[in-house]
Amino acid sequence: MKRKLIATVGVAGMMVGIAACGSDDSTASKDPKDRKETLTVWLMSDAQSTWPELVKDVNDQFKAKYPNVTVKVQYQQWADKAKKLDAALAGDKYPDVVELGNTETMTYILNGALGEIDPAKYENSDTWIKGLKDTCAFEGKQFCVPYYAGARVAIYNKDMFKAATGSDVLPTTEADLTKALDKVGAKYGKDKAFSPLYLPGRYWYAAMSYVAAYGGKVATYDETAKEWKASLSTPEAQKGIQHFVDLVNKYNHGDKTKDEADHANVMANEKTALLYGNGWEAGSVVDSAANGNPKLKDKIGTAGMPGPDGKALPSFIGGSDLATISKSKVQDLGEEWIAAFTSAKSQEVLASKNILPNNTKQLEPLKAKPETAPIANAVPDAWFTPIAPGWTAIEKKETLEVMLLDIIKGKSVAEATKAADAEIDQLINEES
Amino acid sequence: MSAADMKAADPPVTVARVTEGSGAQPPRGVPRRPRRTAGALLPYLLIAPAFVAIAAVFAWPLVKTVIMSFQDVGRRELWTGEAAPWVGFEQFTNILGDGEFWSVVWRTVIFMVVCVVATMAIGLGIAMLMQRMDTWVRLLLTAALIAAWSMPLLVATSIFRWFADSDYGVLNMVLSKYLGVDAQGHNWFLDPVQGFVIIGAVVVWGAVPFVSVTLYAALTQVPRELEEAAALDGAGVAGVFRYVTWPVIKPVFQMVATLSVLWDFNVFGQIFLIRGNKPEPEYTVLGIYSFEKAFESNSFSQGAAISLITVLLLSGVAVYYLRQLLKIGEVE
Amino acid sequence: MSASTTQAGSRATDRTGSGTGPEDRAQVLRQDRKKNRIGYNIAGLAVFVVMAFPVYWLIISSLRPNHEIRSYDQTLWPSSLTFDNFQRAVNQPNFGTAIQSSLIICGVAVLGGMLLATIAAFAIARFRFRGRKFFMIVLLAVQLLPPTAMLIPIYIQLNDLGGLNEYWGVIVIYLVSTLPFATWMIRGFVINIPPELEESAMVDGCSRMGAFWRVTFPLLAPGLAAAAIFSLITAWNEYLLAYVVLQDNDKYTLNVWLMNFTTSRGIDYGALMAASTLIAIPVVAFFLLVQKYMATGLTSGAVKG
Repeated sequence: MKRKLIATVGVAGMMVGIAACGSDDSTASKDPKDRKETLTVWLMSDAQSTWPELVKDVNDQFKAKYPNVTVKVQYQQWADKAKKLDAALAGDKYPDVVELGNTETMTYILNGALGEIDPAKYENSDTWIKGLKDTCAFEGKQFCVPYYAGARVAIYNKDMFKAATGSDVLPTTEADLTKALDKVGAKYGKDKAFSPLYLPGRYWYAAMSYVAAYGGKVATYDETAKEWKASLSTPEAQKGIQHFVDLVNKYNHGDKTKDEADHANVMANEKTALLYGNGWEAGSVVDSAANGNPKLKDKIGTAGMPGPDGKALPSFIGGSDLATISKSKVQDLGEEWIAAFTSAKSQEVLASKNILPNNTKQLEPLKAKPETAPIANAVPDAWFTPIAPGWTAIEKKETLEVMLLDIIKGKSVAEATKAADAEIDQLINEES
Repeated sequence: MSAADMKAADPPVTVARVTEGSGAQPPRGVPRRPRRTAGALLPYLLIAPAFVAIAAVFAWPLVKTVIMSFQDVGRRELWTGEAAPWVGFEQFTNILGDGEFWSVVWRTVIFMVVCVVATMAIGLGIAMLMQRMDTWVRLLLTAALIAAWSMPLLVATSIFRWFADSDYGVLNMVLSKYLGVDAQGHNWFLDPVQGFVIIGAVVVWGAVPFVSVTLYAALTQVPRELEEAAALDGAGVAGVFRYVTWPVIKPVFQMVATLSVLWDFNVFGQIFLIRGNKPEPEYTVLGIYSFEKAFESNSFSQGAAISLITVLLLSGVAVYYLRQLLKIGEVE
Repeated sequence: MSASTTQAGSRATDRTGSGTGPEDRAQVLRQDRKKNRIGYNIAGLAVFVVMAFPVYWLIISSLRPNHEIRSYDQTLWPSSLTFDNFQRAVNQPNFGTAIQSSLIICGVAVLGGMLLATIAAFAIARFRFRGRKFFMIVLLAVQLLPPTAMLIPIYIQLNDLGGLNEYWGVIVIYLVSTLPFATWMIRGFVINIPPELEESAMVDGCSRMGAFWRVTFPLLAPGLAAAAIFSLITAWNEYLLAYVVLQDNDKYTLNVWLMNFTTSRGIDYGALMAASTLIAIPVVAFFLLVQKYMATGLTSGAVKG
């Protein structure tokens, strides 16, 4: 009896949920002053810790236009945000605007969670950084707005390079760089835990950068078969992976089987002279609030990472996007809030904090600024993971990390890439 | 003769006696008949709040989980309310036919058994020790137990992770510096056996406070006089424990052991966190397996089916415990 | 005294019962215990060190300069003590509201849970009624459900009940998840208390419940204390459900707030350790408050009575 009652309540609740799905357009024509809804925005905690004033500014701006709309910004945490969002979308208390990492957008787009947006409503949308814009697009439609970008660069200890090579400028070709690293190794190698270049074996973003440098790809799209196909066992990709593994084996004297999580800590402890990491990691190395070592302040430099054949190493482009939820009853307000939050003026604020803006127009001046030149210059050649339905599953399964680990442990590159290709082929076309 | 025999409650008789008693001496102003009805209703009234609360929170989710396991619910269905297709037993046959699933089950069972045995043995040992030590030592120890217990999982796991780190871990440092083993840079997690030893240490260390504090509370119910009398009658330490102590703490011990089985079988956080939020395939136990299926491969139905299979597997343990309990019930 | 010095620890002598009266033998036992105590104390201190070491590491890490926490030369004692980590922890937004949320949620969940558990335990321990076994099976079965996999169904249930983003939603879940254990636990204690005690009280004019509350309840103190500590710590340290159900940042509980130190740019371990140290204080304080009840078990008088 009791159970039945509860079951009925449950079903009724679901019905309400379904009924609420249809979007209501009648509010759009109203006077802004008559809007009384609540707009819930989920931003990642980075906004709270690094650019809270921008959030406040945009909210004030919004308040001026819509005095009776309440904007609720709820900060989320990277660790379990996806679970929370998955659950929230199944209930009635979902956010209206949500920030998503550019590697996670596809799942939400494919499952109809995000509302379509019109790029024309956003400033600089014609020059949005391709790596970010592509993660928001599906079948010619746009489902999210690029928020900010990130690129990877060489982060090095200027003092160590100076002491070992006489110059505190990072060499611009890989040939010169390895010579310099050998000298650094000779000078500091007495410490067994010291790595001239700390390149962790499981760092697949770096490994794939070398694959990209040789013209290889993780997977390619076959237009005729309308299918993705793994291509890690192609000669180009194998060359890139071999190159990466050789660097790891030669220059990483710590635990080679780790991933990149310890980057900043290794450099803060002066156990390496060079890292290949996110631009902001240079800050973490010296920031005492991020376990950094304040004594290294002003001794850490960034530069473009030299790659094989005298060219720069293509970087993975990371970043965040903002989207509206398709079920939201205030999608139009959400779009407007996003427009304000990603306006040229707002992007200016991010750029002032050495964070890459979402468009190439505002990226230009950063290329001239010494602190940001390396990251800004890394953007044009950047690569991105396949925008395929099953990519998330491959990342979750750690196919690439397992492959690299196997190679570090002694498996041949040919064998390991073949195994990885088989697993990727199995997953990449399946919607996840 | 055991203490429990001496003290064991005998509810039916008790109730009978109570009714007789109230019959002989009806409380003032209370007519006999309604009193009897109230007596029969009383236990239901007493369990009603707990029962309703449990039903309100778990009944429908459980039904929903069962329904989901016969459907194919992905994110789209979950979010849009689109009807999910019925697939019959497909989820179950897929999982049960998956070789990976069975290796995960075995891994989980072995890990669980080792952890539970270690936890219960250490926990009982500490509890009995606590009974015998001076008050100040006991207070000190209990405070440490509680402090350890109250450490959030994330924090406790981080600390163990540092201890075992290949580059800067205390464990490797101590091994290399003081014990002459060259462990610098040794990664404990490359070999899953070593890795599980570390994870097991986190799990056991985290569960021991609960077990020993609870068992210690149970031990306080063992009458000292009986222990002493038994010792005087010539029973050795083992004999006293078996005939006097054990019968008294048995219900609590069984319950704590059962709970440990359940927890260690569903272990998730420790492994997930110690492997930096992305456990390798060798570290997949059932808790992680069902999580990955539900949240990471977009098949909430598979996740639901795995949970139900897990529940069925666990009921094996539960049935043993229940039979014990119900046997007591029969005796009563 | 003399007995103990001549025959320290020898139970064989007791067994032969060579001429000593029962009184003397009891004395031997007690002396024996006193002597062994030193051994037990040493063993206890050893266990203390093992259990406390990670706790020590937590506290000492919170006082270390942040970059030393994961330094390559680990030391037992930091090069210098600093309160910077505590400062950053306390200044993290929403610390105050998180304390409030945690206190309200855990307080109500634990009190409510203890009340419901005690009366339910009384029912299943003292009465035999149709449905009793079923109820006991339900209590056990609830604990079999794997929590992570049940997250979505429970979330949807709370959504239907209107408990999302509400304290009471989280309270109900915490209460219900700790209730089965608490009921089992307290039942284990109730059946060890002779019902004759209640009966004699009833003969003195108490009602059945009155007898229970007045006579048996106080004797349950160790069980209640252990169950309450269990419930409190379970609720206090729960993270995922609270994070998913509570949406406003000022409703987050302490353990959810704690995750603020983990960002995409790494973890502020110093502040995390400092914050965890602070968060553990209420739990340890609660324990100190109830620990004296844990030692008072059945008195000999009660058994004989």
